[in-house]
Amino acid sequence: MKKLIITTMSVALISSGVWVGAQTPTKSDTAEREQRVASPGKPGAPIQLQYEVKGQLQTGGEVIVKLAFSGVGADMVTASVRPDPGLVRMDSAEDLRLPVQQKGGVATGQEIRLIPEQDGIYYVNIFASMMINGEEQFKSFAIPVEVGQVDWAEHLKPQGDLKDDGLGNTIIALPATEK
Amino acid sequence: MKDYLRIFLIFTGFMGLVACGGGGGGGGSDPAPPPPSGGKITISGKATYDNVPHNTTTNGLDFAATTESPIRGATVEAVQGGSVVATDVTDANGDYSVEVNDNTATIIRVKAETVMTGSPSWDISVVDNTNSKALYSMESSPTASGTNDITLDVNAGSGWGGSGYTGARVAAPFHILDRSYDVVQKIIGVDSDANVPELVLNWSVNNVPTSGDQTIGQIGTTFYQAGEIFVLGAENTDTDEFDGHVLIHEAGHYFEDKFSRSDSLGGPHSTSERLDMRVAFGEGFGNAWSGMITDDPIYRDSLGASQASGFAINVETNAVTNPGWFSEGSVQSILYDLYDSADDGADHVSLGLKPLYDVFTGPQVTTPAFTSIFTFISYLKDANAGDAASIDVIVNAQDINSTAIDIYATNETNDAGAPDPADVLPVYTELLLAGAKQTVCSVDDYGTWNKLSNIRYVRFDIPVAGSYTVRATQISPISADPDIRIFKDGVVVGLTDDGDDSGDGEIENATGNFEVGEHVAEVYEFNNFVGQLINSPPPPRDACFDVEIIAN
Repeated sequence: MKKLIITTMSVALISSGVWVGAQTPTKSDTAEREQRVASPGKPGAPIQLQYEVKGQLQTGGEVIVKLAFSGVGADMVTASVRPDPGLVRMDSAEDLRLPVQQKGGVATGQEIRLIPEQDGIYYVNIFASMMINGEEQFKSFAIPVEVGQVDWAEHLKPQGDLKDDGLGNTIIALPATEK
Repeated sequence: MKDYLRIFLIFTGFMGLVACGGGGGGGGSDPAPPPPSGGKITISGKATYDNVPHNTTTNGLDFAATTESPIRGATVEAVQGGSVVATDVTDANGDYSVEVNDNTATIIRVKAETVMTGSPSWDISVVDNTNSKALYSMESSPTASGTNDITLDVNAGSGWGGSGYTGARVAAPFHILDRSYDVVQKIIGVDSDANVPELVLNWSVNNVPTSGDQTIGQIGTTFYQAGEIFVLGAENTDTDEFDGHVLIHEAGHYFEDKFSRSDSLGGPHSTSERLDMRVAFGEGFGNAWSGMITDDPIYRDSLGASQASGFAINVETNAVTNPGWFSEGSVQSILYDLYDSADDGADHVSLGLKPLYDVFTGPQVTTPAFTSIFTFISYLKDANAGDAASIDVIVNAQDINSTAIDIYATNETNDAGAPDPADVLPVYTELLLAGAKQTVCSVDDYGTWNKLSNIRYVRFDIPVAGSYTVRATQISPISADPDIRIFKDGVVVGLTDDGDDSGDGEIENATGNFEVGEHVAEVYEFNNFVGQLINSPPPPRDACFDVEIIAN
């Protein structure tokens, strides 16, 4: 067997797997080692989300998000889907109940349809839960949907004033409640 | 923002009046203060933040039960004319006191940082990873200092408006800071000269549970990496700023990294899974650590709409799904029972933190084996012989052979119920120079990447320093793809040479100049490790190899 070489490893693919076009995986031991120490996270349900965003990524266009789950420990996952305001869900707003892709199995996906009301960055927020040995476990995900031109500076604008503290350090000054 | 504009205008107007020698009041009801007389006054008060607890039924946040807690150990600055004229550090009650020029507009600023130099020392800050790592702070409005001492209490509000956030979430960075302060104080309680290395906590309302560019908030989840913790702040999806145990769990990874040693791979995990033993130990420790620091065994993580949902993990629970040396749940139960003063089940020992701390910062750092429950318990028993029997009872109750424990788990018998016990045991396969090849199998029965037996361990002793090769030869399937990493005392000293990739019938060599002493190595099927890390991954599979060590 020809050795696979991975050059495209990315933290982006860990907790939220992404379906993308076919590519040839390549391998770099260095990248592999770096990946090993770059992937911790808080406890959560042992599931991963795979998703694909397609459709018309423009104001008023129909955006289709296909999602599926894989993991261990349970057969089904319940997913509450809450798009950010301004990204209107056109299909049923009910929670999804999807099978969990098991070892050797095939992912069963579900499509949700959305209409963005204006350009910007939106997230489709997924709140997933599954029962494992009688215990409910949870995990959250967010699927980014970039529509048209994204004004990142506006999106990331802090809640307080970004300024120098007088000592040469940059601070965000938030308002205190005085008593 | 409007409030800040107002404050800015008030402040600049005020300073203009001061610069002009306190000219007329312009018809306002508040007369301008007289110019500074060269005298000093004291501004003192208490700095607090809104502390939002969990609903103990839903495990979501309970905003209605919010209380004000002191901001402890934080930097306080008095600012006059844009310059810092006095500083202080809040005490354990949040109290501060600064001496400033009289008759001058003054801003009291509290920074989300706690810094101590000398011995002990620490340096912890909370920054915004989506705004150039700017340090969070809160500021009072400009206050005329007058000629008499002033009391000015400042509180960081939660920003909660009853059904959602309607104001700036000022309290968030201060709650994050305060949980880190708890960790520091607990460490100093058992090590009064501790040097706590820099810890940077990155929080933003933009931090969402999708992985990508951290500078735009796509952090994936709350996690620790290389002296920094990233914290979710996504309203209605997942915020962790008030999830104290989550924050301290990640601080546990910081502790392992900076004070101890962890050979964990990280990656997705849960208490019921059968994990790589290094992951199980690291994550179980993180959960137990959150209980130790808070003296509260209930780990709670809030999520969802209005932050009103959540889940809990009770690290006191001894009934664990799939117990054993590969179980995060078993590890947290053992470590917390060793620490706590409450007897339950098999727990009749109360060691407190010091004996555990001494192992974490001592032999666990230099162990030749991989860090695991086996190394930790072995060293703990060695250092606390009088409690060894009680320790055994706790550990044995999790289906781990503590009575005859050693760092290489030579006598372990828990095979996780594997169809073929050889897929799990022995924990380490010993290689002998000029000895027979040993067969090890990497399997995907429990998942991939960081699960039990994805990676198998071998060990060997080097009697004379020199060049050696660890070789893995595929047995089955014919396309199996072995990889090897070799460690000496936790440091990688040898790797598979990919230049030997040869397809079917593959032989992989890891060659290096090894020092005298004990070494351990990982041997694994590439597909079982890489499956969740790349696009279009190759399918995981069970694969077996012959492994040997050769003197060159």
